[in-house]
Amino acid sequence: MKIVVCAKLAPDASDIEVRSDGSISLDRAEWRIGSFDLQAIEAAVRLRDAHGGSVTALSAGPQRINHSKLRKDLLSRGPDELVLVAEDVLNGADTAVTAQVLAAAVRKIGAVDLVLTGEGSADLYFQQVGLQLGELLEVPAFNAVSKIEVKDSGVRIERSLEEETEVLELPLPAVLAVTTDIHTPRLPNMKEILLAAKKPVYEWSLADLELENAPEPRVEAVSLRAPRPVERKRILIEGSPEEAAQSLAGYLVKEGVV
Amino acid sequence: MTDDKDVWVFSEKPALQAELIAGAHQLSANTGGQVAAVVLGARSQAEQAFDLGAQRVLWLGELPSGRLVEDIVPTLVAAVQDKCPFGVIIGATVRGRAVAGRLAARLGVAALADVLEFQWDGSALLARHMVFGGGAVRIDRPLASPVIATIGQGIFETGSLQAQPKGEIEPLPWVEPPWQAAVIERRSRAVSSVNLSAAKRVVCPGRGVARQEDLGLIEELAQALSAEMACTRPLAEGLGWLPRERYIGISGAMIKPDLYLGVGVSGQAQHTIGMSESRVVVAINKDRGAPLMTQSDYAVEGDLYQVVPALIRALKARKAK
Amino acid sequence: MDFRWTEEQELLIQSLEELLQREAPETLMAELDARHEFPFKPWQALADNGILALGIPEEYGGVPADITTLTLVCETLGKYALPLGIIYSLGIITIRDIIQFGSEEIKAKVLGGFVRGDLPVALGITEPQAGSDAAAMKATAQIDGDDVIFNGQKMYCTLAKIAKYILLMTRDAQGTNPYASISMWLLPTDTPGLRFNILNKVGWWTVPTYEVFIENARVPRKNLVGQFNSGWPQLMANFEIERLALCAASVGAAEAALEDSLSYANRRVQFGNPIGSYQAVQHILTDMAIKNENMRNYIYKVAWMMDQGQSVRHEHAMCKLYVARAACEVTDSAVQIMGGLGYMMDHRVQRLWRDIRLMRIGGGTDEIMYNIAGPQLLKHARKS
Repeated sequence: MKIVVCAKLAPDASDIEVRSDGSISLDRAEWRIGSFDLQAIEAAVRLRDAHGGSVTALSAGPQRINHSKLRKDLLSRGPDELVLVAEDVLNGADTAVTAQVLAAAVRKIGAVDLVLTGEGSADLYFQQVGLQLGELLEVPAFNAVSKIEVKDSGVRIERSLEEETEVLELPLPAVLAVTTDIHTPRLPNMKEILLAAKKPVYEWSLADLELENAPEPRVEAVSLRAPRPVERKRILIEGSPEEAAQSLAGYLVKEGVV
Repeated sequence: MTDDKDVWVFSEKPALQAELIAGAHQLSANTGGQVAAVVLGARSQAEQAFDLGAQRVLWLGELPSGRLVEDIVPTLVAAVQDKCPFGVIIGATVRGRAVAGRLAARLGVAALADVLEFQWDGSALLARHMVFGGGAVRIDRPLASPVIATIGQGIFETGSLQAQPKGEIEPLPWVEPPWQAAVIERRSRAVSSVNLSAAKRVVCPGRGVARQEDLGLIEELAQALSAEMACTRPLAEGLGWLPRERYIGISGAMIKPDLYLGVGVSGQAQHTIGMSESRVVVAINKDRGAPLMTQSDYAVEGDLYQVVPALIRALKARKAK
Repeated sequence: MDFRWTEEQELLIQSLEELLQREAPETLMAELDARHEFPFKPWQALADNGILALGIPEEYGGVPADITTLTLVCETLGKYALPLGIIYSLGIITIRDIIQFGSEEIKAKVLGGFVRGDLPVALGITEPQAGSDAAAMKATAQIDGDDVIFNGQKMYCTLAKIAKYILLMTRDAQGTNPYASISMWLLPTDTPGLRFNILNKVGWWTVPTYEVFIENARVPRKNLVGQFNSGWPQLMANFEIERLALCAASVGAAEAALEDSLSYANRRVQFGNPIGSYQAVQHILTDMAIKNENMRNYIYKVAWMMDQGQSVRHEHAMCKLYVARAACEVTDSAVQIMGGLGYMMDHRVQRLWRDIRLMRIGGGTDEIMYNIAGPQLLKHARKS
């Protein structure tokens, strides 16, 4: 089974710096593998280990993602090889652009049986790319996939919907966005980390994908700012547990919430 | 008849559809078009959409057995291409997100995900949403038409909406999807009865709770407050103490109850994005410097193992009076 | 000079930090300490994630790692879960001795087991009358056909009862030169004739230490590690790296103590301001930070020298002496900064303070470190 797993490499949200005017700086943020993509990588690697085949990790973004530590980090988690489409015009690419680039890369990789993605990217979390990718590849695409079993020529999947679990069978190829609880992602060990440096990395340009120009953006981000904090009363209640509890209960009654 | 100012709304969840109809009126007031509900279900449900404030009803009919809601995508694609509405707003459920993403890809646009608010800049539509795990607010302008957006529960209120006169129900001709998934089974999840977004009061334990068995104490507090029990992500996903449906935050539930009470919750942005719009926020924590303590209305500094039992007693005593 | 870690080291330490937060959170470590329980589950997690494989030859399931990398691992263990750092450091000397001197059979059994999560081999060296003066030891090994019979008593034998093996040092009473009369043996702890008496300690509550009584304990003769009567130089071969590992774990603990102190100083309000706003407190914190930086630089330098194959004969002793004392000072300052709370059992700084105190004694006392370093310094001066 030939599996492609897509991962977004992006600045770590916990490194965001808020400037005094409320604007946001990501200049000092460390770039990381999306935390929701790690589960997709784990799912891909487990499917390969159980059924044979290969796992190709795939990521598209600005030049910044073509960084040797990020490459090793990705490959130390089990994929056999890595394909990067790293061009600065892809910085801040919208979901449609990303999906088109990924679709072109998946076509170029060729004969892919299954594409996995995370639930959403760690930075934007729009939860769209996997579904758009499936549609562009004209294959079944599902989100919220919490279990994948290979069955005959297709897969049996479980989807975690709001109120029910749905079990579906679909033909391959397919694109599946997995939930954050499908597996606990493994932590790379030294053996895998050392091995990662020896695995093949393919750097493809948009031209290699026969996308002469970057796809036209469909959405423009006009501003990015720190959220305005909600004004809170900030009343600190100290004292013995009994006093504090009495005082809090009093406030809750006054607020009309009990 | 040109529809290019109309705003369509779709959700497979009737309650959410009603909210979206209300929200769509804010948009159509600016576009000068009408609000059209795209209804999947019985004819009576389609009729009802007028009562909920829809000016037009586009009817998909009932879902044939063995089909998925997502199977409406080709039909929707054809209808949108035919009628060219200004936009389609889709309820941000799991299925809704799937429909939106696939629809957007087929129409060559990017869906605006989890929009919290629409704004107008002259004639340009702007959509506000949270990014970076709640650490930032981004405003996006769609550059391509139609506008596809997903919107979650509780963003728009249905209250003020007037029923519309019953018009003609316009059926949308069914387009067979090119591939099909076989539905093997559907089972309701025992834990899924929880509807955090509807709860008026929510008690949320965090990592300050040392052991799973201590959740009994928090549960008791929730009962004393008639509150729903929620949790932070590590309790649901790392530790598995509570079902995933109960965690609040970026990839979990988004709530705005009257009361949110965090017990031993540090208050990372990934969590607070899901509860920051609560009316009254209370935090109980040993550490007064915890982010949630500084973002709350009432911050109780103390050991939760002492404060929570005392609070339960205080609440029960008041109830008894 | 390049102070950067390699990418591999960064990735490994990132992975280890996440593992420790997952498998050895502070709440668990505090609980184990209160119950005086060995951290079996976190230790197994280290094995399952390949940490125990580091530096073990590949044929026994290990993976290559230089001394700098092992130092970073010990430091990280010390910072997140000091007992794990201690256990790992204690294992370094016995495990390395077995790598270097053990027979094929011993290596396969001990190293393979260690990589899979066995506890380290305990070291049976100290005796009631033979502490720093290890050559005064009395435990005997009497050859009996294909077997050997041990008799004697060992003190401060950490992990002895719960480990699978003790690396036992015995003295050949016939030998005139004590340093050429000591042999090293692999003694399974389930051998009949062994009795263990647990010792109560001020710290290290999760890492038990025993007094071991050995009465006619019989094992096959092939359990000899290395050469007969060569036990002393064999043991000395890996004392330096053990001391470095103990230092690294101590530095990690000092970093944890500083972190707790900084966060407390920012939060704790007295006389209307956070205590960190007062210069008296800032001075203490700054001194702690300087010591941490110096300690870290010192251990990295010694690790680097060892990786270069340079002798660290006096450097390692000076490093151990400095780090053990500085780490004690830093953890003591942390208790001071936190005031009354620092002395309460429910905060971790008291635990770091208790646990770190042993670092000035275990692995060679401060005074012995002076004894090693001083003559070496004078000797070097005479040469130049």
